[in-house]
Amino acid sequence: MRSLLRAASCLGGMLVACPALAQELEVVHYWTSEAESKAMGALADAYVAAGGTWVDSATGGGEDATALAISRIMGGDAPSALLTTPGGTVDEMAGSGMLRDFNDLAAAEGWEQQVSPLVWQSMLSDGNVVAIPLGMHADNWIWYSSSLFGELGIEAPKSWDEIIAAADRIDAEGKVGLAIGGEPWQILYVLTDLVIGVGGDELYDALFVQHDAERATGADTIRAFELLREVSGHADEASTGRSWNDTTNMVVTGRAGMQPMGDWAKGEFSAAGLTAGSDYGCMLAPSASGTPYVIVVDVLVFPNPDSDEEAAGQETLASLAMSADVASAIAAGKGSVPVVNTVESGALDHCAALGAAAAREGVVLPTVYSSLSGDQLGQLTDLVGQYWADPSMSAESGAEALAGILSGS
Amino acid sequence: MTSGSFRSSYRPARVAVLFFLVVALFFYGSLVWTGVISMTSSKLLPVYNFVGFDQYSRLWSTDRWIVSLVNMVIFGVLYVVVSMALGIFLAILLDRNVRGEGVFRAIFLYPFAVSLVVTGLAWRWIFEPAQGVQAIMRGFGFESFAFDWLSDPERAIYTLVIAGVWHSVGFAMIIVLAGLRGIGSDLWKAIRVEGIPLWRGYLQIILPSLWPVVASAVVLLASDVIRAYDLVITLTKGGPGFASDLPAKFAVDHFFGRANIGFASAASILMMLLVVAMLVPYFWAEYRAQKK
Repeated sequence: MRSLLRAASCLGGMLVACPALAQELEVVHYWTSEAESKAMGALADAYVAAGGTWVDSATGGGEDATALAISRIMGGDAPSALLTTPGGTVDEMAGSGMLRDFNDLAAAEGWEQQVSPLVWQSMLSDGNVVAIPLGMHADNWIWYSSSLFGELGIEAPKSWDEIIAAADRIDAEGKVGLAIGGEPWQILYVLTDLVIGVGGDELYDALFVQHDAERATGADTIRAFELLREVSGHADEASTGRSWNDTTNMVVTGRAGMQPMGDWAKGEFSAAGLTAGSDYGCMLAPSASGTPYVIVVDVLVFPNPDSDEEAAGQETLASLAMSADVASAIAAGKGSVPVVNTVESGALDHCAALGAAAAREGVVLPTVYSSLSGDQLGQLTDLVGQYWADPSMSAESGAEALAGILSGS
Repeated sequence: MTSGSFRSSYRPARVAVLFFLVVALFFYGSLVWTGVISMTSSKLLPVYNFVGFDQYSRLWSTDRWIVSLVNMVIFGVLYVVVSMALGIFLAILLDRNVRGEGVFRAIFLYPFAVSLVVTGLAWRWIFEPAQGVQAIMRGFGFESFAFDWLSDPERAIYTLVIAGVWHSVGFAMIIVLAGLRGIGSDLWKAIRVEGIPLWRGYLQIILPSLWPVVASAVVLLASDVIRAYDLVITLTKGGPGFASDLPAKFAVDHFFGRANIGFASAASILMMLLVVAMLVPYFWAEYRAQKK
């Protein structure tokens, strides 16, 4: 496998000296769950096989990774690469000249033709190719335990009403119907799912992409907040502060029925040896119209290199990540959809194929992580956390606060 | 070594000057820079686009900041008062020449040797409704037993107090005990001769004479309150929602996660003003004591 990869990288990246020197790359990332580290391991193995030296700097979370990388860049000791998500932070880093670009390599290898237009957009900042996509996720999935559903005779739900009915049915058995980790960022995904459930892609677009504050106080947004209150009533008492993967594990082990979470959760199912479509089910969260695919892209960005050797190493890594073999290995580890179009869909499991089809045929929406400014996102995260924890807060005042956040910058 | 005496005569001064320069540069320099940044609209990177006190006025209209300040008062008062009260009580018990004093001292002091991260995680398991105390009590047959403070926005802050007190009681105890051991036997003789009951002797004579010791312990505990971060991160993560948030977590979240350093700097400056406000009475009392 390794020699095969080496050959592939030699053929694929004609710009890269081959056999490559032992270029050392330090990669700051936050993929630490079992499935995530498998995915990062796939990239690291490919890089090592290509003759490089991989220095792994894993941190506790995305926020920590960015903070660490920025303070090191400012201190003159930049890491070679940083895992992040496209959006305001990447634009600001690129705008202040912290990041190198891959314009030449992208043109030489024809990256624009290899990825879908939305992924291509996520690679650009101010027209320069600064970000290398590692995988494509949607954050609006719902996962359910097929065994528990089969035992209780529950059909896969098609609407939020059916989801809540199914949750009631499972709760009555003394299990957890809707498993939700009570960290504010996880609750935010429930709210965006509900916005789509109530108003479809149109309402999501108006609120989170167009930042239309007037729509935020409309009846449909208030309805989404009401549903969020209803969902919060289904949270089990241990939900507060539970991490997403512990929560996924409840569905994996059949202690809980459903979990709304992005498809990074799938990696946890595969790590436990479960098969998509038979052992566990997946669906994009019900929508009032169409099947919106709320896309989340994981990208690597590369601070300016210190030496020619480091620059060459960064190029090797970038072209490896854009090769079909490595892209599909990362996707298989983490449960994402490969970014490179040339990967055959036969290699995808049931859920990934469903996602790939939705991304191709449905409406693709950007995640709130890239469509809101960092400041707005932070305020919104605080708002949903507060709303979730405080049952005395009305849906109207939740919607009012959302309008205030959207009208700010 | 003929120059030995010459060297030793000026070296302490030189070391002191160097030390103060380092402090001035890194401590006061950082302080001034944070103050400057708090007046700008800086987001991810420092930019010098001055906006006056906008960041401060935004702080006062941010629910989460107000909640974190109120929490700091609740946590601070309870943490310091309860830790000191229990610490003094334990120190007095140990001071009565109990058998096996060394064993008890070690037991009470052990929690202080545990880092706050470990303390927070251990107490999180204890408070966790599905596997902690509540689950155990229900396992014993008390089906209606409820202890879910961790997920109760009104009570989550008290879980921090409990864990914090558990951690610091031994520390307060050991400092007060050291003070008690320094009390001369004359004072005790006087108390005995006058026939003053033991509890009054401690409360009205011994403890007041330990005032500098108690004040030092209070200031040290109070500084824990201001920089309480690791405990809240591991125990409640500030939740549910931001019901158990503290100013230090608020500042760190905005500095790093939310890349809003102007806003976070404003929060940090206010935190520093709180520390100053807290230390002023202490220094004033010290100053008055010296004048006497």
